[in-house]
Amino acid sequence: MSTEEDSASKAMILLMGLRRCGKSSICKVVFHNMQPLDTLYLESTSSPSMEHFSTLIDLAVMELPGQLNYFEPSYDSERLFKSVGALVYVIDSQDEYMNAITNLAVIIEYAYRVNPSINIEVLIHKVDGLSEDYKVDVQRDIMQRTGEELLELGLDGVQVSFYLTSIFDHSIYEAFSRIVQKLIPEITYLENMLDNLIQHSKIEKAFLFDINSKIYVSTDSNPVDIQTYEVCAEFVDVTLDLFDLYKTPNENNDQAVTRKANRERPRELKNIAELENGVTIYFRQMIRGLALVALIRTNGSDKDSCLTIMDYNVDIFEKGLEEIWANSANKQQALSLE
Amino acid sequence: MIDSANVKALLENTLNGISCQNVPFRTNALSSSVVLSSKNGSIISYAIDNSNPESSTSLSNLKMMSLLSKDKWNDDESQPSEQTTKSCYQYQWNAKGTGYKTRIYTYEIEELHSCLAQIPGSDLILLFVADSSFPYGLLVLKMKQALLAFHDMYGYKLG
Repeated sequence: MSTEEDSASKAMILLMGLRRCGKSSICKVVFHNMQPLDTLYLESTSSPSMEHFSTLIDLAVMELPGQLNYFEPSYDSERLFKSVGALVYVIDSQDEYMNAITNLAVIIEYAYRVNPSINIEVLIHKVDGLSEDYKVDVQRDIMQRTGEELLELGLDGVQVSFYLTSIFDHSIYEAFSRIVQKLIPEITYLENMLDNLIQHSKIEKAFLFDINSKIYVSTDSNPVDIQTYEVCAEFVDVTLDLFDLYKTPNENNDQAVTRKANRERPRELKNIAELENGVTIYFRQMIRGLALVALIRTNGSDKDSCLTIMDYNVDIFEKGLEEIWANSANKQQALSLE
Repeated sequence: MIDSANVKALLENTLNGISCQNVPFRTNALSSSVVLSSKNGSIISYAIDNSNPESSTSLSNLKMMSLLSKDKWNDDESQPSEQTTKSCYQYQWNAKGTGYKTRIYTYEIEELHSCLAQIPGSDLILLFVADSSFPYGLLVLKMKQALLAFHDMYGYKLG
C-alpha cells in the first residue's frame, strides 16, 4: 500500500459518485486535456485510480469506481477518508438522482465521522443538456433533498458546496479551481498579493493558473466572471500551442550560442495580446508550472509604459511567490521530521 | 528601419570606462546604455555591462528606469525656463555641414548617475546609466562624443 502512504503527505481529493455519472470523464478532461466528445467512449473504471497533480501544493485526485461498496470491511476506507482533504461527489443531473442523494448522505455521514475537517463538494454534473431555468430548479431540488437527508441523519451542521458543472464548457474547471483553492493553506496571502498587484498595475482581473490543467489556483478578490475566466484559459492554450510550435530545433547543436543568449535574457514564457477594445491580455510564467494571466485595461494611457510597470510589479510578485513557496516547503519538511 | 545589430554594437562600445594617462584616474564601465523612445519611454535597444555582476540590472529594472528618466526629461524639456536645477547643458555641433543642437541632462537615480540627451530631431533618447563613482561631468563629455556616432539616427521619427 505504498501509494497511499506516499499520498498521505499530499492533499488528496476523493472523487466519488454512482456508476456512469461522469467521474472518469472529469479526470480525463481536466487533467489530460481530452476532448469532451472522446470521453463518450471511456470504459467503466473498475478499480480505484489516482491522478497526481502538482501545482503550488501537491494534489492527488483519487477516483473510486461507482459500483464499489465502501463499507465492506476488507476495504480500508477509514484510513482513506482520514487522509483526504476534500470529497467531491458527482451527481448526474440528467438521470434520476434520488439514489445518488441517498448514497451521498451515507457517504457524508461516514466521512464526517472519520474526518470532521473534510470539505464536501457536490458537482451537479452534465448540466449542458438542461435549459437555464431547469438548471436552477435542479440545483434547488438537489440542495433541498440533500439537506433533508442530512437532517434525518442528524448532521445539519455539515457544510456542503454545490457546483453546476459540465465538461463541455469551462464550468468544470471553475468548480475544480474553487475546490482546489480550499485546500491551499496560503490562499489568503496569495489573494492579498494579487489584490495589491492589480491595484498598482491597472489590471482588471488576474488569475494564477496551473498551466497544464487550466485550473486557477488563486485570483484577486473581485468577483470572477466566467467569461473573463474563459478568455484567460483560452489565452493559456493559444500561448502554449504557439510556444510548442516554434521551438528552436537546433537548441542542442548550438549550445554555445544558446547559452550566450540565455545569459543575456533567461528563457521564460511570456505572451501579450492586445484586443481592439483596448484590453490587453498578459501571460507570464511563474514558479512551479504556474502562470499569471491578467486583463489590463489601459484607460487611454500609454500601453508600453503600463507594461513596463506591469513587468516590474510582476517581478516582485514572483519573488513573493518564491518566498511563500520556500516557507511552506520548509514547514512541510519540519512536519515530516516530527 | 533601424539596424538593431549595429545600434547594439555601438551601445556596447559606449559602455567602456574612461582611464586617464596624465593623472592616475579611471572609472568603472557604464552599467548600461540605452536608446529609448521619447514618446513612451520604451526601450529600443540596450547594452548592459556583464563584466561586473553586481552592476548588471535586470531588464525590468532597466525598463522602469528608462520610463522614469523619460518622464523627468519630458518635464524638463517641455519648460526649459522653469527648470529648478542647473544640470542641463546646451550642446551644439556640426556634422556633414549641418548644425545640430540638443540638451544634455544629468540625473541622479537612487544611487546611480545617469545622463541623457535627445538624438537631435528624432523621437529617440540616448541614456547612460553609471554607478555613483562616475562623475557627471565625464558622463556629459562621453555623451557629447557618443552623440556624434549616432548621426545616422538624427531626425529619426517613430512610425
